Amino acid sequence: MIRTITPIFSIVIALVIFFFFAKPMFAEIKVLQGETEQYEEAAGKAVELNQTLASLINKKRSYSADDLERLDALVPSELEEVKVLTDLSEIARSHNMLFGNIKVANAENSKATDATTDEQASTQSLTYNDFTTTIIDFSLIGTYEQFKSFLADIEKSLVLLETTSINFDSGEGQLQQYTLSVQIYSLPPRE
Amino acid sequence: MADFSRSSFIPKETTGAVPSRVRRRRTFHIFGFIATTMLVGSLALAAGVYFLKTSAQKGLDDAKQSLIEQDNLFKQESISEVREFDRKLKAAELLINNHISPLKIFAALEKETKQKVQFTAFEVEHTPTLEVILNLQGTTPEFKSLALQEITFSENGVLRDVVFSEVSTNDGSSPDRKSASADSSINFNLKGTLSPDTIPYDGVTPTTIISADTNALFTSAVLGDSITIE
Repeated sequence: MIRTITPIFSIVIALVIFFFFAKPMFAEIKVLQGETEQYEEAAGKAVELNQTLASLINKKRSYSADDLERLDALVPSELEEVKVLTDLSEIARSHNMLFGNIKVANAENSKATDATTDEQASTQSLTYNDFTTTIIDFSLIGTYEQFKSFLADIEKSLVLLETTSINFDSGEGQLQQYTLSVQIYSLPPRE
Repeated sequence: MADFSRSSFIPKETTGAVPSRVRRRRTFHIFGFIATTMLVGSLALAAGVYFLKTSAQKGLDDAKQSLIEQDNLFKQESISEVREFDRKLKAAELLINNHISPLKIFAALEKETKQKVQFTAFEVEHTPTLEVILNLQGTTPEFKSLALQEITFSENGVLRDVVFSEVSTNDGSSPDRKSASADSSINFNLKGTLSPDTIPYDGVTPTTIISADTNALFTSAVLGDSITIE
């Protein structure tokens, strides 16, 4: 009798072990392995990202202090209109020109935004709409040569002065009045 | 007298006694064997699976730890620093790529204007990334010069969509005549467009319009903190 029961009992135990222990554990192992793969992938990407970040920081630090200063001057965080006006006045004075009729206004960048095509928007993450733009209108009185010298100076200014309008009539004498509009830009830090 | 039996190493056989060695028949139970194999196999499998699970759990813990370590290396300030710097570089690129040199307009006009044509009023409008619109008023003593001027502007490719309009003689006579009288002149308006690509700022001052004196003026024009001549 016992000889018959023992094998049956063994088979039952074996089946119980297989179905209630080994098989569910296999499923758990698969889940664990899946999770491990995901974590490893994430860790791999994190390593890659950290390396990229480190190389970018190194690249940034490789720029000289002068270059960084020039970049800050070209793309300032805040506009200093008074300083720019003072410098414009100084440049005009250095070319023996009279400087006046100053008008400062904030620009709405709608025109420039309209002009930015979809293609440009996709290749450049920035548009003129991201800038704070100030328009400075002013007049100069001087000779044509003085005016050109003035233009040559402001177009290579480190604080980028984009000349958007020039207007003048040639008069009888050497001295003429030139009316100019320039735009200056700043890039406010991202919120 | 005691009975003294003779001893012998040869066992005595007694009739009817049970033999000391009984030959037992071996039996093989296939059912029992299968059952035992299954039991042992399932136990071994359970042990193996348990080991695998422990190993997988350890692998997961290691991967989690590795991610945490990488996460700790990740500094938000560094990302902000790099992003802001990248943004500034892109902004600088955008501004510089669209920066035009108005001096080149004057250089082109000076080069392409006919001797007998004189411009009396100049107006230029420019919106970054858009075309530059040029409006000029001029005067010339003869129609031939005006026609030549039109051809020159059309051919040189600097000015596009050149339109001459409001052509009139200043003595009030009709511009239909082939030439104006000796003391009269022909007034005209000129409108054209310039692609910003034709007058980009490249750091080179057009030599045709800058005299030695004005060059001398540039060098002394390093002014203020905000505007610095390169």
